[in-house]
Amino acid sequence: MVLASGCARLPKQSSGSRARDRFLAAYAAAHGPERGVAAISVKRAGKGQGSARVRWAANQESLAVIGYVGPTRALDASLQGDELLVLVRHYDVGVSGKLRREEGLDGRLLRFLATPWDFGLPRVRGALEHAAIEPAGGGWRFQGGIEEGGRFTLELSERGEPRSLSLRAAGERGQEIRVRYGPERNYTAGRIPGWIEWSFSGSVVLLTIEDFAPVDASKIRYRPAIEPEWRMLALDEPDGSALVRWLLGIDEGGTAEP
Amino acid sequence: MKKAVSLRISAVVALCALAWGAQAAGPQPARKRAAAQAAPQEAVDRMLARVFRAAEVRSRVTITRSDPFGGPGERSQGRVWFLPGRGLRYRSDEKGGEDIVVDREQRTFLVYRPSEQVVYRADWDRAPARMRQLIEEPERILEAKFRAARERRLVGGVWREGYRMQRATLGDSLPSVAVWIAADPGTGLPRWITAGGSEDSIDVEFRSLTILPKAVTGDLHLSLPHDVRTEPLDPRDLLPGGESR
Repeated sequence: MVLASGCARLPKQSSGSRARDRFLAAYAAAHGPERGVAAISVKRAGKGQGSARVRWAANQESLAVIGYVGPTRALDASLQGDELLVLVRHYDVGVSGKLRREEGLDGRLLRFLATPWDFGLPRVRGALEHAAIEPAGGGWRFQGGIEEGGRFTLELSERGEPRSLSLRAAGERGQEIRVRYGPERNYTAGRIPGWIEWSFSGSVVLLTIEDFAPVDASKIRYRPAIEPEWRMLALDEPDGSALVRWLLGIDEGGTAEP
Repeated sequence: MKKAVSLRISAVVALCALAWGAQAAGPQPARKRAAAQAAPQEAVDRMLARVFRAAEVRSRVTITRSDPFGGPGERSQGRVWFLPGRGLRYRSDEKGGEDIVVDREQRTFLVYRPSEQVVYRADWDRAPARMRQLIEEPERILEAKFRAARERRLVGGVWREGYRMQRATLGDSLPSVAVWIAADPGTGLPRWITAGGSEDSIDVEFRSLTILPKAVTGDLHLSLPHDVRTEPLDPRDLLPGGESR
């Protein structure tokens, strides 16, 4: 997430290594906790379209997300490393547990895919540092692997801004997810794309970012209060796993998608 | 997910309606003075009774939700029609907002999304349980024992006399909440309600709240453009064993 304040418009870089250095300095720099507000629309193959609003806060590898419809808090989710918590408030039901890559749910990959403009996550930055880079379409193209998570291709514009990301999860059945980045906008916490679009399995999710600002880490609550009457499922139960897969849009036996 | 999230607004409607109320019979000054002197519990009971025993209540509402991460809150506006014993409707005035109707007599639960040109239809018993209870058994709300205490709060820069109610019956998305309710000083009708938990809060202002002597059942009728599609809405099927609240 980005961006040190001085990176408004990046000049065209003359070599791959310089383009990489510039990109890492501008887009993968360390930063403090951040929060955001966005509108989200989800279009699932054959199932019409839905929309909601989300607020999120992120600090390093941890992320908390709250989904609203109108003014009503509909869903809470948090990710701390591989620990996932999801509360669907309307049903008084939730699920928690540890994500396991071998079961097609890679928590850290999910963490990056949730805020795919945040190239400063250690795992992502490391992957970019070791990725191959070549000229492409007037800009640059990174290609590499995110540890065992999968292979990625990141395309930069002529100005060095992220334009698209393609990530194919590891494994024979690894599905591909594509991310498109909209034009960058200035926010309180820096410049990030004004919109992000994920495409996977015939679904398209569009996030239009309205607010992006620093946040006090102490205000981020990853474990909201859980009422005694709520039905809490374990992620390793079939119902819990099914709920998470349904929320994330993952086919049975598929791979983690946002 | 769309179907699931579509329903959340209905819980806010329930929250609004649950929080409604006013003194027993009317906004006459003498009654207001009496109410002001009454014990907090009694005053709140009177507030709630006036709404829950009405033939119909209409109101414009402004709902402000805080940001749990410390950012600015978010405000939305809409209208509510509540016909105790018959049904409830909430229509958002916001762009892309929904129009939701729960009609006991028609046995329907409808969610109309103008932005999608779709009305989602389900049976009455698929409506959130709390909404159905509110419509079917408003007396149960009145019978519930709130621990009410007088409390002044600053609302829109003005100190308002109201009552803090400590009871977690409001359900919705803020299960363990403390609720504060205050009447409009001009009418004696309920005007401001705040429900707050440990993480965030929701403020509801009822503007132009009107109690009708006779219910207008047409208020529960959705006027839809002819090209609107109808799709099923069956939220509980999304989760095995799930129960709408």
